[in-house]
Formats: sequence, structure tokens, C-alpha cells
Amino acid sequence: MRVKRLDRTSLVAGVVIVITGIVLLLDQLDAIDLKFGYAAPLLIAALGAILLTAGLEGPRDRD
Amino acid sequence: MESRPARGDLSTVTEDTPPQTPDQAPPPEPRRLTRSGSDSVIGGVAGGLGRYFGIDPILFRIGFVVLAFIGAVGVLAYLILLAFVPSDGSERTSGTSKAVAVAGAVVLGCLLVTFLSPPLFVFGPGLLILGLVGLAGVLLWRALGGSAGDDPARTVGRIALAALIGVAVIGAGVGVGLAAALGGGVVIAILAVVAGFALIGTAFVGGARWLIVPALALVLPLGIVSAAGIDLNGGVGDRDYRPSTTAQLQDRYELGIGSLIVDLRDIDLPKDQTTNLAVDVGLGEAVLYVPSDTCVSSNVQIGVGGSDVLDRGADGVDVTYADDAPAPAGRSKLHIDADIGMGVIEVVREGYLRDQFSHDWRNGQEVANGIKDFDGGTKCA
Repeated sequence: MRVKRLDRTSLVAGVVIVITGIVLLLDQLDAIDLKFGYAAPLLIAALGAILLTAGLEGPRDRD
Repeated sequence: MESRPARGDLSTVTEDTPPQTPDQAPPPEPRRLTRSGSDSVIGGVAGGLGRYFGIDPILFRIGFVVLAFIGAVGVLAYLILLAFVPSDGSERTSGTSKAVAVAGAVVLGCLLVTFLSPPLFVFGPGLLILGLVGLAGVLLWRALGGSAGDDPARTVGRIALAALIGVAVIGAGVGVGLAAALGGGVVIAILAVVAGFALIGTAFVGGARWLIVPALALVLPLGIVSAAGIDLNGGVGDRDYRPSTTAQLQDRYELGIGSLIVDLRDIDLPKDQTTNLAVDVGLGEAVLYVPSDTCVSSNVQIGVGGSDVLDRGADGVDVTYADDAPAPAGRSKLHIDADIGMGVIEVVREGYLRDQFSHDWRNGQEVANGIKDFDGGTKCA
């Protein structure tokens, strides 16, 4: 049986999407007041982290 | 004394140095500018330039990206070189990962320009959309397997499929944005968190990268809508309110998307008291005309856009503008509380013209008719 290896791109993407989603959820629930000046770097950092990980890891091996 | 042979004079070469044959050392080909197939991100232009000049191609790539923001010179130059410089015919190898990195840099560049240049806020949303479309394209390209090889039919098929999926993703993103702006933000945020946890869970059993694009299609529009504070519950379209009595004057005027005009020039506001007026526009413009003898105070909040309140203006992201105007005895006072998601608000005093956000041909004609020009009037004229 073949052991599947850790897919770092999915892991990093999942973490940043969870973090971003929680921040946006807090804003929607009026627990925080998210401004563009804070949201833009957050979204850019999320995209950058995913792209960087995908770029470093390269295309996934096809089974 | 033995004379040295002149450089390049093969006739004087002695037998100690065997004559060169074509099999052993072929004469070097004349250096020729070609597009690189092996060091290629888009069309191999930067790779070819780097090889020709003996410089790291990343410098040319950075140059093209930088020049792209200076009147699109970089894009034009790249397209010209792509069109006229021949390919070297070699195979493309590892362009996909580099494409992701460079596309990421382009996206970040677009966003940087968007947020570092407040006067360019008009171009900002356009650059943002371009950046997001580029990102979606790269992710799709990766998802579909990267390079399509030399088969033209396969390439065309993949481009068509990528275009279809790209349109679907953009449409889904717009739909998510609309749903969030209509009050579904909590549900969308929860879905995004669930998608994120699903990605984390699947990462340990091989991953589910296909889930990244839909998860981003949830997060990005919601982020923009949340940060800008866009609320579309006020409806869509153009609204023009011209109350002539205080009884007709509403406390709040709302509009989701479109143009909202509230013209108070025909109304006599009560003297020695403050009339409060709230304006809420999700996406678009609000124009308020105020009477000539009324003092105006304001508290304006804008996610992305600009305000032009009488003779004062501001634009950019997270614009907050507050101005008080103590009214002398016997004068009416209007307090405007405005919340604009993405767009502009203008407050114009009676007898003045709209200012920086309106430069139409009528201005000159109205100025000729004796109406004061372009400064919108002061807060307590």
C-alpha cells in the first residue's frame, strides 16, 4: 500500500484560509471592525503564502 | 629568435598544434537573439535576453513587470519581442513553478500599486480585478497540468477549458460578493473556514488542491465586501430625491449599487437646530445638494473611494472625514452622516457646481450663466 505524502500546499492554503475566514467571520459578527488598510495586507499575505508554497513545492506528482 | 604567429593567422600554425577539424571543435555559431524554450515563463523573451546578454533573466523579468506599470511599456515591449524574436526551438521544462512565482509577483505588484497610490483609486479596482484574474489563471493552469506540450489542438482545448472555468470562477466570485453584500457574509465566512479545515485535513493524505480555488472564491470577495463595508440592501439603480418640505425629508437615504442624488435646495430647513441626514451607498456615488444658507457638518466614512464635501476633499482607502460647522444664531444646520462602501460622495452648496468628480460640458455653460465655479461652497457660507 502506498503511503501518501504530506501536501504542503494544501496544508498552508488550509491554514491561511482558516485564519482569513475566522477574521472575516469576526468582522461579520461585528466583533471587530475590519478596515481596508488591514484587510488588503491580510488577503495579499494569504495569496502570497499559497503561491509561494505552490511555487516552492512545484506541480504535484500525478498518481 | 622565433617569431610569434599573428593572432588568427592559421597559416603560421606549426605541427605541434594539430589542425582543428569540424568533428572536434565546430566553429561557434554567431550569437543570435532567440526566445528561450528551456527558460520560459510566458514566451521565453526574458530567458532569451538573459542568455544573449549573459545576465540573469530574472532582472529582465523584473524590468518588464516594472515597465508594465509605466504606461504599459513593459507589456508592449514584451509583446513586440514575442512577435518578432524567433524561438530557439528547445523544450520547455520547468516553467510552471516559475510561472507561479512570477504571476505572484505580478499580482502583488498590481495590489501594491493599487494601495500605494490613493489618487489612482479609479484604476485601483481595475488593477485588483486584473491581479485576481491573473491569479485565477495561474491556479487553473497549474490545476490543469501546466504545459500543454506541442499539440496545438490540446493547447487550444486547454485554453478554452481554462477560459470557461475562469469565467465560472469570476462569476462565482461576483456571486459570493453579492451574497455577502446582501447579508450572507456569516454563512460564507463559515463555509470558508470549513473549506480551510478540509484542506488541512486532506493535506496529510495527499491533499485536495482543487479545493483552493473555490475556497479563495469565498474568501477574496467576502474580504473585499467586508473591508469596504458594502451593503446592497438599499437596492440597485439610480435614485433622485428632491424633497421640498421637511415632512418629505427622510432621516436616511440608502442605495446598494448606483447613483443617489438628494437635492435639498428647495427645502427650508428649521433655523437654530440641527437636521440629521444619513446616507448609505454600497457601491456608487452619492450627491447631496444643500441649501445656500445652511451650515453643513459631516462625518463621512468610505471603504475605497473619495469624498468631496463642499470645498474639501479626500480619497483613497479607509477614508474618514469629519468636519463640524457651528451655526450662528438664526441659521439652519445640516449634519450629514455618510457611509460609502466603494465610490464617491459629493456635497454641493446651492449656487455652486459639482467639483472634481464631475467635469462635464455643462459646467462651462452654467459658469457663463453666473453660477460659481468648482469649489462646492464652504461649510457655513
